[in-house]
Amino acid sequence: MNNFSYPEKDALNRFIAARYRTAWLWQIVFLFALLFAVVSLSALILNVADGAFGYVAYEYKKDPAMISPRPLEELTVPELLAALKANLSAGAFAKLDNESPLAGRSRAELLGLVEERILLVKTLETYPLFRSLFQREQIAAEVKEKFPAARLEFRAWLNAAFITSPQSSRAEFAGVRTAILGSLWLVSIAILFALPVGVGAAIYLQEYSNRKSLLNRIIQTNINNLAGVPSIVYGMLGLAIFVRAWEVFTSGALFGVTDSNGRTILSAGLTMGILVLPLMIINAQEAIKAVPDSIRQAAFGVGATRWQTIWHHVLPGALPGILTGSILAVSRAIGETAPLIIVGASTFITFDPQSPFTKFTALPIQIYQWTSRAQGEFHAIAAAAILVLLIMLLSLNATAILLRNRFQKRM
Amino acid sequence: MNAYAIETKNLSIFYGQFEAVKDVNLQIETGKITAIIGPSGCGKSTLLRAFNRMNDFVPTSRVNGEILLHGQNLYSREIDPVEVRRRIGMVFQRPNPFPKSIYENISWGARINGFKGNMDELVEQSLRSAALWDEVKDKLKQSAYALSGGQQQRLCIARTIAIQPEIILMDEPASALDPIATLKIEELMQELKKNYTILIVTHNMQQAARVSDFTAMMMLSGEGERSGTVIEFDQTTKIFTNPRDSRTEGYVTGRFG
Repeated sequence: MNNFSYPEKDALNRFIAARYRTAWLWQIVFLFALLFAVVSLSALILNVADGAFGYVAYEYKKDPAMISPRPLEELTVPELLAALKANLSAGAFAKLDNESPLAGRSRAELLGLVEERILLVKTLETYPLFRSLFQREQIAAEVKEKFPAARLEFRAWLNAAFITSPQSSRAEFAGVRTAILGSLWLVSIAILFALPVGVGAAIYLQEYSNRKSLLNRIIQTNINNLAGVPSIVYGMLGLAIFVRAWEVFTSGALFGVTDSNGRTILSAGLTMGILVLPLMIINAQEAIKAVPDSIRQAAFGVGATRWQTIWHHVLPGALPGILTGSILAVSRAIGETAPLIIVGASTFITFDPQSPFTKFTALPIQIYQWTSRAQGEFHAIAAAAILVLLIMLLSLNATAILLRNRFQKRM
Repeated sequence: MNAYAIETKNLSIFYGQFEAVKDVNLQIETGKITAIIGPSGCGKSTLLRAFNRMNDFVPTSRVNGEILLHGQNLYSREIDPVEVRRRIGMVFQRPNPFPKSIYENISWGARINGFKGNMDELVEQSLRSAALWDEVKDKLKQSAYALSGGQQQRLCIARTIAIQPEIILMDEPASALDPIATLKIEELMQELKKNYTILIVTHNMQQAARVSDFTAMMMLSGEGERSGTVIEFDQTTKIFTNPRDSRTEGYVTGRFG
């Protein structure tokens, strides 16, 4: 006999029970970790929504009765047009008409113009969503006491007008149209640049180069480290190279554009492209690595060249993974703020970006700028812009996921 | 010039400084099945892969000596490895069809090699030669991954036949298959040897005895050595009934290895 032994009978039962207890304890720990994550994310969303909707107290500097004895909301398009014509100077009216024919504008837009230009609306106080929902009487009483002449209205700061209006110096009439377009331009340029370059570099590293050579190991380590470099450093790089050194190219002077400097969408887009490039390369490498070697062997075995193997088998197999990498890259690029500030995004742009060589603004820049204002109504539109940013991010990701699933189904 | 499909002269294969296979001289006869047997790690697969230059993909690999196909050294400068792999096809240990349809699995190799002719006919003929046509003729457009392991391996054989090689290399083609699928592959090999020269690496000595005409016995070249070499090469019946080398006898009778 030897002196090895395992627990038996009662000792065995106790031992097993103790093991189950340990397992149960860990399970509880993991459950709480999950709950914590869910609560944090919900809190984030609720916090943003809290700011983007709610009661607002406002007053008109001029009495609406001077336009019509009936409530403003009931006025028809011709009546609103007539009111604008009667109360604005001929020059101001012609200027508005010039921007976009007034007769062709929507009723909501005309009403906004009447409020902005004639009645001179002024926001006095904004209330967050949850107070607005649960303390309605209290808010009403507070407004009546503090601003006897004010009107109280429940407003969704995130509305159609907010999305379709350009930037404005008045929070009530400001929108994110220019910022959305700016962000879309930025992300498109970044992906157009980073996707081919990143995939190309990944193919070379995985399929052509000798993975074990010292030079390649150094390059690989550096790519991995670059993925973690703070984005502001990329901003400095973009400023030095794209904005300054390549100004002839990025300002469009090379293509006959004369009215801009290097602080253009193109500079910012390329900076974002460089920023997401390490991410693109690493993800594409992982995707290429995941294609089983047996497929390559099979292709070589029937007499394929390396390029035929890559083009017909490795890349199609890696495509879903590459698209997943692009999703991450888009998510990163669309939310970055610091490099944009450095390469000189403008904060106040009222026209749509027309080409890569125009000045631009982007959603995170708008949000950053609006949150730094003192007035409550700017905080409300910042919250609304955050919601727009989140929705945009989700829909871009959804598109990429749909694309990926499509490619995955092809066998 | 000679009747051999392929022969090696003083062939040694290196991975960096390590000599994996040492000094192999083999004459493989046309239209026969030659088995390479031996214990694990003695360089059977390395030797087999040298015949169609698959070892080229291991960056440190290098070859001394010659492999002659019709008197021409496969490792000479004028020969392109892509051409070698067209003329010497390969079936791998695990079935590895492309993640494409059954039809495309066969047509792809033909297309990239510049096949001219009726592709449908080539696909049908290749599948018939691989004894797979009746099982898949109604689902050519379906994914090859929907087939069973044995069917996939026969598809891989069909894919190899389609590019009309002179020699087919098989690296333990049945080791991942069940006995029935294995039997089918073995029967298929007997059919194929009418048109092709076959070289097969196998761990399964019964299989070598059943299917092959010639057998090469590989082993580490000596006590404490790490290089493998062919210690005996003869007709299969001789290797299994009356081997000259006592190590061969020990191995095939199961006393050793």
